[in-house]
Amino acid sequence: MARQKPIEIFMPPNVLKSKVGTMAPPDEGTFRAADKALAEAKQDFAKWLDEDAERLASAREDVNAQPASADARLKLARCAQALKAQALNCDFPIVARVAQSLIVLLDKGRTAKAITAKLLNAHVDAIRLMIRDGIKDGANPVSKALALELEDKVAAWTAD
Amino acid sequence: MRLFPISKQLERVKSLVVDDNPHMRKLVATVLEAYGAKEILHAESTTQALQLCSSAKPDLLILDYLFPGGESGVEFAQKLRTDPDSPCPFVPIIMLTAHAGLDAVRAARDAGISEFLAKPISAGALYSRIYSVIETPRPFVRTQSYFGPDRRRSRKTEYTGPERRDAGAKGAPRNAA
Repeated sequence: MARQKPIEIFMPPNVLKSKVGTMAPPDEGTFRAADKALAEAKQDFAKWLDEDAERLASAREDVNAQPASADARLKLARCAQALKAQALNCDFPIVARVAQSLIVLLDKGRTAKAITAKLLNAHVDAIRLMIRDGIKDGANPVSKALALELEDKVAAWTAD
Repeated sequence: MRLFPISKQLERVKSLVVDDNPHMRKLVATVLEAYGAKEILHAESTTQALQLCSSAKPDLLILDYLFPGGESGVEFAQKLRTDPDSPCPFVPIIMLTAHAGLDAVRAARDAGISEFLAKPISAGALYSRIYSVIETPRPFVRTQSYFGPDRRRSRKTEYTGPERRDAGAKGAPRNAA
């Protein structure tokens, strides 16, 4: 008797195809309208990032008030993740880089008794400063050096 | 053969954008509108998304990876695929995330995600993913441990060896489906 295979492979109905018909193949030349609309939406980016930075600063205060609270650290980590994603979308890669450094700090500090407040605050303050001054990338030498310094400090702290 | 201009491609498609960040939802919606989408639903949580899946039956889901409060886009996708009461087990899901690491991609793939798109989003990249789920959809696979689009992108028809998905088959890769 043939063995019944516990595997089923099938093609479900393609509802999208029935509604869309045949799509035009992806072509860079045809994306101009979408790119233009995206660029217009991006004009509000600094404001959006500022709102995310406010949330990050508020979460930071909670961690400072309760350094041993896993919930507070988790909330701050989520704010940092959200801000990193937003910064990437908003063309603020240097902010995303510092947010990533903060994420590493919080992640590696999970098992530590407390995360060093000075290093944590330095990240949050750097992020707020960069957004306030509209510093987007490593073209600003001070911001570039600051991001590198923070990453080095996190690497050294997490290595201890 | 119907071939709409690119600005009208998604005119009849009902999309659901699930992201806790309203700005991100707006960005995604902006791109979808540029491709003609007229009906774009927004959900800020997976709970809200599930309600909308039941009531509105979207044709396409664009889903964030991580949500505040511990909700996970991956878990939500898995629930949509495998829950017997799921309102849309076959809906194409494009996961949009800043977590572009291999672990994140693997987790999304194992949850039954159709396509994965790393942030920052671009108009071209989102179109490519939508094009992919419409024009080159993958068959669905049901095994004891997985239900969703075939996780293998290419299918070699000339293979004549033992069934690699069988747990006992020699050299069977773990979690392969």
